[in-house]
Amino acid sequence: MITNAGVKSIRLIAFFILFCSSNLIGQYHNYGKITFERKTNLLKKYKNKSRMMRFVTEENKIKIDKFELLFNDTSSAFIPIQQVDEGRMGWLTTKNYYYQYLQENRQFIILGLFGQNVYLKDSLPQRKWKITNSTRNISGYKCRKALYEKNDTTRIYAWYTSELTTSIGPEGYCGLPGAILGLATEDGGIVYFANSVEFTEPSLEELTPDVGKNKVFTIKQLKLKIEKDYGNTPWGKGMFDDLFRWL
Amino acid sequence: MLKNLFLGLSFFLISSALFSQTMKVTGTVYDTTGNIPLETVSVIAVRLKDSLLLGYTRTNKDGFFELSGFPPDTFDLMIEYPGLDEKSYYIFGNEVNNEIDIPVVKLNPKSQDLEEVVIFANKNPIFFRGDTLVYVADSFKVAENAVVEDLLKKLPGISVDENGAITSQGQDIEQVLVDGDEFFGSDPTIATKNLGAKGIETVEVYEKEREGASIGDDDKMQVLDLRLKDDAKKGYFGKVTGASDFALFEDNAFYEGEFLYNNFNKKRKISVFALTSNTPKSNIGFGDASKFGLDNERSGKWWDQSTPQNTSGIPRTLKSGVYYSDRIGKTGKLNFNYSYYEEQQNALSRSRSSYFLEDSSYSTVDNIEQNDTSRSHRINLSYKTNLDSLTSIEIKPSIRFDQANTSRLSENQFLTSEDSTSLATSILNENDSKGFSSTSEFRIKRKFKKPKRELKAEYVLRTQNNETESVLENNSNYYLPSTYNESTLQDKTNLNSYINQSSKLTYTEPLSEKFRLQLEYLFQNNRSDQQILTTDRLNNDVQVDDLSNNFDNIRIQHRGTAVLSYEIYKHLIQAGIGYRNIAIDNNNLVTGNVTKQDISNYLPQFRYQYKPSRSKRFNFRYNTQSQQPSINDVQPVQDNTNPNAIQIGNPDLEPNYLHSVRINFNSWQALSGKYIWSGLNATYIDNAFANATTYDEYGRTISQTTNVDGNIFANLFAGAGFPILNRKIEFEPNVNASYNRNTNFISDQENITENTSFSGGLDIEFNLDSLEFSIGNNYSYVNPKTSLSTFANQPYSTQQYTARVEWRIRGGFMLKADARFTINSGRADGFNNEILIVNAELSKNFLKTQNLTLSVNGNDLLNQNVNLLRQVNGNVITDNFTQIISRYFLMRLTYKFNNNKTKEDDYKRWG
Repeated sequence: MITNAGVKSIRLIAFFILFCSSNLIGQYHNYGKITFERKTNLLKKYKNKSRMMRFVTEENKIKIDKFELLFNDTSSAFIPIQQVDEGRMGWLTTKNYYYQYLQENRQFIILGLFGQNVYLKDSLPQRKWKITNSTRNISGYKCRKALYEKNDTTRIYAWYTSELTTSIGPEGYCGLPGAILGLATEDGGIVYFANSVEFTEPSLEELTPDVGKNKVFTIKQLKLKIEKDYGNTPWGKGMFDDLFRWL
Repeated sequence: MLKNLFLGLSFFLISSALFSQTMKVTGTVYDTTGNIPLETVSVIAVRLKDSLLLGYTRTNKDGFFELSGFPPDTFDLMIEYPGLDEKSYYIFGNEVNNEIDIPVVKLNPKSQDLEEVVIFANKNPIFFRGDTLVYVADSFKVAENAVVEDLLKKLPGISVDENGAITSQGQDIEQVLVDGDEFFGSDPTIATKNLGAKGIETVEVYEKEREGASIGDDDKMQVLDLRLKDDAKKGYFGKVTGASDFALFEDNAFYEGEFLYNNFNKKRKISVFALTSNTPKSNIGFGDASKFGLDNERSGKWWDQSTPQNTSGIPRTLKSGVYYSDRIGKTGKLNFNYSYYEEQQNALSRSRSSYFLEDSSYSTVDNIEQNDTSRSHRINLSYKTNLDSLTSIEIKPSIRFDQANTSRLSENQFLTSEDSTSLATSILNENDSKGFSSTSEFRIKRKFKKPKRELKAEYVLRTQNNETESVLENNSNYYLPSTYNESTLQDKTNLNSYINQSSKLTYTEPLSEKFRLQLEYLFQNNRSDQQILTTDRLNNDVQVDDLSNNFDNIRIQHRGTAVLSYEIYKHLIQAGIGYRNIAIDNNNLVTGNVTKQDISNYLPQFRYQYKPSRSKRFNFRYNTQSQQPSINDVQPVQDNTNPNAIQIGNPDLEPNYLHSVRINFNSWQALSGKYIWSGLNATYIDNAFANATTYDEYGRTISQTTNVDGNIFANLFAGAGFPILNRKIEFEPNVNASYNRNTNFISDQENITENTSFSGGLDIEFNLDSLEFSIGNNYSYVNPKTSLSTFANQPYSTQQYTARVEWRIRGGFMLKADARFTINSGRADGFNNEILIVNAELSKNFLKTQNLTLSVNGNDLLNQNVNLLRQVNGNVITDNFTQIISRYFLMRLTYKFNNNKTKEDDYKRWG
């Protein structure tokens, strides 16, 4: 069902897409820096967790975090941008690092586990994507909506643009025919949207993680460990879900 | 939203004799003219039946692409290039036709055709309300036990697929709401498969702002909103417990009973509770109080769910009450609570105190029998609402009526240093008190368009009226130097009342991203009155003038505080200063004496916090504070409630001034589970309230409160947890050191007491699948020192060993047991005890829901429980023993229930 207002907005979108696209004919890019803004609805994320909810009010329920996605034609680095005054709300959301190497089919992930860095090395994720006819404009790029069914109850939406040719995205999401500029959980509780796209070529250092001498897990190993260590408490289950939400 | 430009099914078949498992599509893409090949055109294959992305590629500089590596299927080949219209080919691949070549793909200019929009219109029972499509649920017939999904399948225009996904007029429904809320979480099928269709009033379909989405205009999504009938969202849950030993072991049966019930609907919650016992269990546990919403009954700590124990005598408890909460309007919340408490406690205690004076020492032996009964009615009311989107108010009145009877019989013996009795006294106090007190709080909070700017105003009014009628009967038998008797029989009426008003205005201004300024102004106006009338029954009920008084204490305080905060990344620095002036008038209404004080202080504060990560934190805090003495400390009349220890107030007493420092460091490593906590608390007090005591020749005392400088309380603590073997075993060491220094006066001579103590312990926890147990020990050593006399300087120590086990046996059986062994040494004769306390419980759950539990509890199986306490205070060492409940057994039956007839879970503390 589409209402009158809907028709208007469709026309507007169509016009907008047309306008932007006409300026971009033939302009494909295979390197650059995408800045993402993530909005987390804390009321949704911590629903039924009364202890967490004490911090969260109607006013501060939307928590904004920022990330950078640096990429060239074969590699990418997804890095959180530190914020000045996060205060006690800081730990309510995750800040993970992803370094991906498309040709070698490998990735490094640095997860924040209660402030401790956990280092992961694994092959690139293989996800089954469903492509929809829905498109939207993100930061001037026409993006197509794709859908990933993580499990029976979790769906994740991604908007990718074919105009940025490297198959990359936020939170290590990749495997679509272009860069992902929008990523969202089904309930809209957590959404990533690109704010800006700049065409600066990242340096090799920027695309290389500092793993140091830390123990490196595979995703499967870490899942097993966390499930074993914390899986039997209700808060541990919440932590597990949060930690592996995007993996 | 742009529809694929339909070119129909065009595929070119190159027959292949070879059997192949995978598809291969090749082609060349040209621009609108058909002459210029296009590079990096996106080519993707999407399976038709479920939109699955099968593969993707890009054209090379010759416009050529090859897409392969997926099994043959029917799919949509979409070819896309910015600025040009996309092209779609539907390809029916199979194992024979699996190699397809499209020699020329010509991309056309952007089409401006829009999909035709059909608006669905209907008569009742389907209608539009604005942009919302409304179905009246009762108009569609469903089976008796149908769920919402069955109803949706009946609604025209709405379809539900086998996975529960819903479309309305062909468009996906992205969210299912219940009364506008995501009542059942993000999975729409939880609502549609679990809610009964009968509870639905209407089904509404509309477009909603996509929350959190920020860019572009496509921020709308289609939602389905289930509007419930008023009676649908409701239920109840409860718990009944009864326990007794059926008088099998003692003459009087031990018993415990508890009833908790909560009934809720969309807006309203009602809880009732009742508790009765004659065991140490005299409170509702934290978990149950939280689960049933009994906000004022919560006792204990959230991390410790065991019920707090009353350990100072033999209690009898009856508590009962009702809680009601309701939502009024959009943001209004009303809470009401009435609770009634009736508590009785009989305590027998025995103590031996040694008094060390400069040139002599005394001892006293006291036997005290105390019976307390108290009744209390408490009413709490609160109402909170938002006046507009930025302003909220809260009104919170509460009142309580208290009534108490106390009778205390104390037999005392005063012993000389040679242990011969010089004086024996017997004191009986009987008190009968009635009181009324109230607290009324008003708060208003205003936010502004500028984030973090805030204005808060608060007014609190506290009143109390207390009347105590008491009788004092004292018989003193003197043995040394000569023998004679003395008796007192007095009636006392004590009227106490106060009216305290406190107003506070707080304003917060964000100066920049990193700086924040907080300003606060506090005004307090407190008035306390005390009237004491003492009459002598042995002298025709004549008023005893030097034990009667009428006294007023008026304090007016102004305080202004400014705090500047600087917050950057992981650091927070706060510095502030307050200035306060307090004017105190102590009026003796009998003599007309007025003592006036006018005191001004600066009150600085500083705080630094460093949080390098979510699980590491360092905190430093320096604070200053000034506390005022109570009216009992200032009223200038002797209090002879205990004729052997007379108290007299000091109207010249000044408020004290405290400097306190707190340092904390915590760290936790989630991966290994290691943690440490440590800290230092130190307080330095000038003008501290101290006792100045004079002794008569028998050792009886008269004390007056006076100001002293330089009292210190300091405490250093640290602990850690080290798990090994995948946290099956965890070691938890802890250490603690403390130093206290305080001054008092004994017969006008300054006496400084310094207590230094150390303690340390180690706990080891074992967590196996169905078995958890832990063992631990703790050793503490106290070294007291007094300057006036070295007699009291005797170190004493306590050792404690603990063990605990919880074993879940098959078939719903569970065994819990714990043991504590305490060794006291270095104390007075008769107080050096070794005590072993063992508690055990065996329980079994019944019913399919496991909601019925039968258990047998044994408390203090070895019958050794005593309450022993050593206190060193100034020049006095007291060893105290109180008789408390020791061994008892209970057979307990607990039944939990709810309206869904499902397993009723206990409160999850991390929930």
